[in-house]
Order: sequence, then structure tokens, then C-alpha cells
Amino acid sequence: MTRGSVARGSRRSGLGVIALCVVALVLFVWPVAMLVFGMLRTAPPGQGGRWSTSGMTSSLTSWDVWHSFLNSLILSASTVILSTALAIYLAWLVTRTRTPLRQLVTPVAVLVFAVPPLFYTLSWAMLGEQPVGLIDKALQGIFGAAPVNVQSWYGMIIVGALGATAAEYLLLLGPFRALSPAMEEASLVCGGSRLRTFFQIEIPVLGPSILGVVILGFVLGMGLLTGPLLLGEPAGIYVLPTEIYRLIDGVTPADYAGASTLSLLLVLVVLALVGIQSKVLGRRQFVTVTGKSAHREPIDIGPWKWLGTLIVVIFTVFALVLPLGQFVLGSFESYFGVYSHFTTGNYSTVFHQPGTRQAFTTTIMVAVVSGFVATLLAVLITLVSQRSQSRLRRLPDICVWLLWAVPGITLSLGLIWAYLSVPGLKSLYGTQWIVLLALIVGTTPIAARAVGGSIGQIGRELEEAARTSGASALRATAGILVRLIVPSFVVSWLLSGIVASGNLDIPILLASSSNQTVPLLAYDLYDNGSLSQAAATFCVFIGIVAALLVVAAAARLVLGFRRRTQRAALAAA
Amino acid sequence: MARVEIQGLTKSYGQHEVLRNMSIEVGEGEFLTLLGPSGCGKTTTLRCVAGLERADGGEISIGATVVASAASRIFVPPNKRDIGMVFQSYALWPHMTVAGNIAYPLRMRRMRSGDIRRQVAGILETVGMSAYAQRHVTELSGGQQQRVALARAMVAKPGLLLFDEPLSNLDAKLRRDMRREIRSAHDAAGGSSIYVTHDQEEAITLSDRVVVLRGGVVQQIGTPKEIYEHPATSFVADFVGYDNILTGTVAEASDRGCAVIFGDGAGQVWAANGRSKPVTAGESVFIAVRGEHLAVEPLAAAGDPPAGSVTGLINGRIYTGQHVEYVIDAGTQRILVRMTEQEHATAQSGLGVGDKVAVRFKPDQSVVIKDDIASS
Repeated sequence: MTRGSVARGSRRSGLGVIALCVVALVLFVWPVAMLVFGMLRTAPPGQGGRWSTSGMTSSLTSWDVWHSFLNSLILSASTVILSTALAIYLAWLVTRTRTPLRQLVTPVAVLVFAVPPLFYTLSWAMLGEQPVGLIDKALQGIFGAAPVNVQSWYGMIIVGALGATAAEYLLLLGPFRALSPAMEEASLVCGGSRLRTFFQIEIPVLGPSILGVVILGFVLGMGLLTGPLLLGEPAGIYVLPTEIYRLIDGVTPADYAGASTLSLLLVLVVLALVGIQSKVLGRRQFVTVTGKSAHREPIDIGPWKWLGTLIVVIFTVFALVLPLGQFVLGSFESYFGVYSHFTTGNYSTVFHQPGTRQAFTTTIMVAVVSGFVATLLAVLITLVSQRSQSRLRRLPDICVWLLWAVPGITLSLGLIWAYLSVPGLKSLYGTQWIVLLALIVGTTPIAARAVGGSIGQIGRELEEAARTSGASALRATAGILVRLIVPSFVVSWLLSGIVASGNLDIPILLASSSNQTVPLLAYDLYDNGSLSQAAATFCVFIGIVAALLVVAAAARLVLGFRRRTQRAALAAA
Repeated sequence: MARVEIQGLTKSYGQHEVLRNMSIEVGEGEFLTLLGPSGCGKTTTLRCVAGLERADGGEISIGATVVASAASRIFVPPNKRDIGMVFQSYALWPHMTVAGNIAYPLRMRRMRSGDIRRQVAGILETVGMSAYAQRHVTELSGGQQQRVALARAMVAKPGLLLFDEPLSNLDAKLRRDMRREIRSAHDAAGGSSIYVTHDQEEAITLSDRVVVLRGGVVQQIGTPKEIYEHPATSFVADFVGYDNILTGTVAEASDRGCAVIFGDGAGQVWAANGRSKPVTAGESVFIAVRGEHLAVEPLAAAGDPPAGSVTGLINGRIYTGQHVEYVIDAGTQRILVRMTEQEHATAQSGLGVGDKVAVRFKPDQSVVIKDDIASS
């Protein structure tokens, strides 16, 4: 290779990095920046208006706003405290003890995590629907009258905590598994009891991971829309995201400046939390992973294990069995709450109403496309940040990370400002394309998390070995790097697609009635009182997702089997 | 100070038997090493003594207390056994300082904080880490972490110290230094120690007695000198570095030794050094001998070997820096002879590849071994 071609090659890759930076800034930063613009305008997006601070000041001096802010803090804090405690207990139970039924926890958590928050909340709203929901019925049977109302603070917190527990448990499972058993054994040998060891060694050593999970839970709790919308609003409880939604959808004329102000407030709080996290943690990234996979004997915690089993069962029932059961049961009821005259009529409505069918096709399209594009973006951004020599290489990655601090409803408001302020893009509003674009932006951070780790594990030497074996740069990239990325690409595509398909926060502001997605349709049905149809819609949706997962699992099994037989054949040869 | 008695210990993981009826005694103040390759059961034995694992059968007592007995369903948890342990990965707690790590066993024993401070300062002095008391353990080098781990194990003056391959993560030079420190720590503490390693040099330099294990069975127990000079089985001989483990047939035996004929009539040697069971004429035995205890002399093409030696052809020569090694084919067996640079310089004449030579055995350094252990 001559010197000239080296220089040309690096200039070309430098241009590529700059292009990626521009794309990242436009997609991920511009919408957030446009919230500032929106805060200072008098008219809704795309309708002119003039500069003014009146919208901002009136919302910042409103008691309602600060009340909802306080409510958000209370909701997030109580959800996080409950869910973290439960998640830590479950993770410990599963990784360190011989508690019967502990094998249930991970599958249940995965399923709860896979069910979109909207549907999860919806089923709980149905369960507690007075006087006909399952729980309500049961409690009436015991107490005569139902003492519990799901549409309340308790309902919001418990339903939020159940969902958050699943996510936090899954995040904590890795650190708990990686924790070197010698840490714990050293404490026992030093004379510490099991209980002291748990609180003085295991919890503090896992401190950074736990704090990370707590902050993430808090951040997600602050941005939660569906729970407060379905369970809080009917009880007159507003949090920041529902207040933002109310300012746009619930008041005439819509107060876009106020909604933008609140959105920025939310983003700032979240950024402050992330700042606190990095400040507190500092360099205390405890490396507890040892290369040696030590044999660790699970502990027999004696009679306490039955308490563990009880908690596992309660978690399974409340997190999974009840919500799913209510949905399935509800979908066959001719009128929700009437426990006779079961019918499949709701399903035929789902399949035959043009609006419903259209919602399913739209959802599948946006899920497949946005999952793919988000993963592609994530791969490019991760590759650039890990491998490029450019000084700008970290910028796209940082842009994506910023989005973790931007809750869904805030993001969709920012996107409205961003795209409606540009004359050419204005025509996108109300089409499925703007929903698609927004979902790509919204799911890229998830895709980046899904592919980031596995790309990091692909050592440069693997490609370098291909180069020294005589492969061209293109060939080495295509034959080695691309080939090795494929499995995690597919997983990330699936994951982002599922997340995108269940998202309500983005379509709720961006979609119109002619291009609804399934979650929006189900929400509308629920809002109009057609609970049984909403349940049937959900059952079809979850059926499609489940079928997809089964196909994916089968494909993995078949591929794995083929690879194993190939290996066996090679070994035999 | 504590005697340790291990009686008939058995342990399996599923179908895999890790310990088979293991019985070992550790005397008061003794430094005992469990030596063996990976999977021999040495770490499992140590972990059973620590109480980190439960044996399926057998009994362990520390001092006067039975700490584990499968038959009488006794199991004392590790935190009640008054022991100190150094882990292979050091297992220092990353959320505590050096002083915090070392103070932990004292805190568990509910000592007053003033006393704790004094004792921690004292032990830090002993291991030469006083300057690092307030550092976080993640900021330390491997050797420093090792010292902190040692200090933590010793600080509460337990009657028994346990070491699980503590030096395997260090480089060679540091390993030699730490070896000395561990032994002097043991001597200063006055308690008993059980040390696990797969490094024969470590076992031999550190211990009062060595137990060689294989497949969950004790192969030999003895002082380092006994193990080194009189290996009881061919496995022990191989493991403690005997270069040549040759097979032959006993021609005649007396109580001073025996004559062994090599296969293919390569020669007959006299071996006087054997501690295994008495042998009789006609039996197959091993002869173990270290390469440096053999001598090579050139032999005329048609000549017979002198008494006490075998004939062979030089197959190759390897220069290793301090030594020169000859590989010699004697019949179907291969013999390695190691000589120093000096010896080589004086004996060099006529030692080329393909030459016929006589390999002379010294009776008192040739070990006769008759394997009678089931797993060998």
C-alpha cells in the first residue's frame, strides 16, 4: 500500500465519522434542544407565533406543576425502594441459595420485562376495575366490599414496582453471578455470620451495581407515563409525564410552551441524577469478576427457604399469572365483568375491523423497520466509538446516551418541535413515517446497550489475523467482524422491535387516528370502555410476540445443532 | 495452636468422586502441605477443613472440637471454627481500605476499637504495609494484596491457618520472597498451617510435612526430604521431578537393595534406595532416577556395558543454560541425563548424536518403586 492510499483511506473514514456525528446530532440532540425553543414560543409547533417567556413563567409559577413534580418524586422513590429491595432479595435467592422454585424467577422476570408497560398497567387497571375485576371480585368474596382500589397511590406504586422489580432483577443477576464466592467465604472464615456477611460484604461490594440499578429505576420511574395515566389520573393524581400530556391533550388551547417547560424540567432532574451517580461512584467500579469459574455450593438457608419460596410464588402470581389471566379471561367476555356468556366475538372484531387490522400492520412495520435501523445505528456508533482514531469518535455515543435522560413523552414532544419547525418535514406530521422516525430515535439507546457489550468482546486481533492471513480490509471486515456481529445484531433487532411495538409514549402524541399502533388502539379502546376488546387486542399482540420468540428460539436451537454437528464432524475428521 | 485430625473424609460431585476415604493428621504447630495436580482433591480437603464445603462422610476435628462429622450430623459453620485463610484470588473486599480488611476478623470477634487499631497497626508493621493502611485494596499490586490477605488471616491469631494456592498468581521472583514471609508468619504465629499447592518446589521448601494426593487418595505422607529422596510411588516420583521413571524386572533382591534388569537386555543396574514394599525376584518394578544422578561414558561399538550401567544410543542433546541434557534411547525406553556445564566440558569427548554410550546408575540415588496404590 502506498503512502497516498493510506492518507486517502484515513481521510475517507474521517469523513464517515463526521457524517455519523451529524446524523447523531440531528436525531438525538436536536429534538431535545428544540424543547428550549418550544418553551419560548407562543404558538404550537409549526404555527409561527412569537418569542415570549410567558408560557415558561406561568407554568413554573403554577402550583399544579410543582405538585405533579412532587408526586413524580414520591412515585419514583417509593417504586424504587420497593422494587430494589425485592430485586436484591430475589437475585440473592436465585444465585446463592437452594430455595425451591427459585428457577421460576428468571423466566417470570423476562416475561414481565417483555410485556409492554402499557399492557401491564392495562391488565392491572382491569384487575382492579370496580366492581368487576378479578381481584375486586375475590376481595368482595372475602370482605363483602372491596377495600382496595387499584386506581390510587398504592395501585400505581405496586404496579410500577412489580414491573421495575423484573427489570432490576435482570440487571442485578449478572453482578450477583459474577461476585467472587471467595469474597463471601473470606468473611465467613474471618468469623462473620451469614447475615453479617450479606450486609457487610455482599451488599457493599455490589454497591456500585446496586446504585446504578437504583438510579436507572428512579430515572425510568420519573418518566413513567402509562401507570399514572391509567391508574393515577382517574384518582386525580398527576405526575410530570401525565401533566405534560394533559397540557397538550387535555386543555384548550394546548399549552405547548408549558409542556416544553415541564419536559425540560424532567430532563434536567434526570441529568442531575445521572450526575450524582457518577459523582458518588467516582472510580469505585469494583471489579469482582474473577476469571476462575469457582465451584460454588448454594447455601441451604434452612426453614427460611420456605419464606423464599412463598415470596417467589407471590411474585409470580402478582407479576405474571394475575395480569395475564385477567387479559385472557377478559378477552372472552361479551361484556367486561360479566362472568357468563363467554364469546370469541372480541377476536373476530379484532380481525375484521379495518382499523384494528391497520393498527397491526402499522405496528409490525414500524417494529421491524425501527428495530433494524436502530440496531444498525447502534452498531455503527459503537464501532466508531471503539475503533475509530478520530477525535470525534465518542460524540455519537454520547448523543445516544443523552437519550436515556429523555423520557418517551418528552422525546415525542421534542420531535414534534424539531420536525414541524422545518417546512419540508411538516408534511410528515400525522403520518406513520414520523412515528417510525421517533421510534428509531427512541429505541437506539436500547439497541446500543444490546450490541455494545458483544462488539466490545470481538478483539481487534481477530480481524488483524485475517489481514495478516492475506484478506483485504473489506474482506476481513465482512468475513470476520460482520459475521461475528450477526448473532447479537439479530437479538438486538428482536429486542428493539418488541420494545418499539409496545411503546405508547411516542405514538400518543405523534400518531393520528388513521395510523394508530396497537398500544394506542388498545388505550383508546380502554378509554372508551371497550375493555374486552382491548384485552382481545392485547392477546393477539402478545400471541404474535410469543410466536416470534418461539421462532427465534427454534432458529437458535437448529443453528446451534448444526454448528455442533459440524464441529463433531470436524473433530471426527 | 491446634491439632487437626481428618478421618475417612469422602466427597463426590454427582458421579465424580473427589475424596476417597482421606485421613490426615496435622500436629500442633506443624506446617503441612497438600501437594498434587489439579483435581486431586487438595483444595476440596482444605475447604472441608474451613467449613466452606461439607463432606459426604468422615470426620474433621480442630483442637478438641469435632467441627464436622457426617455420622453424628455435626457441622460447625466456618465463622465458628477460629481459623484464618488466605485465598488464591486474595478475596480482599474492594469497598474497604487495607486497614478495614485487616480489622474485619477482629470486629467479628467483638474486640474493642482501641485494641483493634493497635493490633492492625502491629500486623501491618509485620507484613511491611504500614504505609498503605488507608489505601483501597484495588490500588495495590499483586504482592501487596498478598501481604494484606496474609495479615487478615493472621491478625486474630487463629489456631489454624489455611492457604489455598496463595502464590499462584505471582511472578517467580515475588513467589520466592513471599514463600519466606509465609513460613516466618507461620513460625511467629505458633499455630498449625495447612497449605495447598501444585508446585513441588513450594511444598518442599515451606513444609514440615508434605502429603501428596492423587485422585482423592493419599499417595505419600512424609517430610520434604523423604518425599524428595524416597518417593513411594511412580506418580510421586514423577510429580516431585524425577526425570526418569523406567521399568524393569527384579533379578535378585536382598535387604540392601536389588538388581534390576532392563528390558531388551540393555543392561542390569543395582538400586539400593527403596522405601516401598519389599520386592522379590521376577517382579516388575519402576526405577526412578533424576537426570543429574546419572553419568554417561562413551562405549566402543562392540563393547559390553560396565557393571551397573545400561547401553544406549544418543538421540539428542539440549542446552538449557545451566545444564546440558542428553536424551538416550536404551532399548524401548528413553533416559534423560543432565550434567552441568563443567561435567560436560570434561566428558565431552565422543558424545555425539548416534554414538553408543553407557549410562551409569548410582545405587543409592536410584529408587526402586513397586506401585500398589489402586489409582496408580
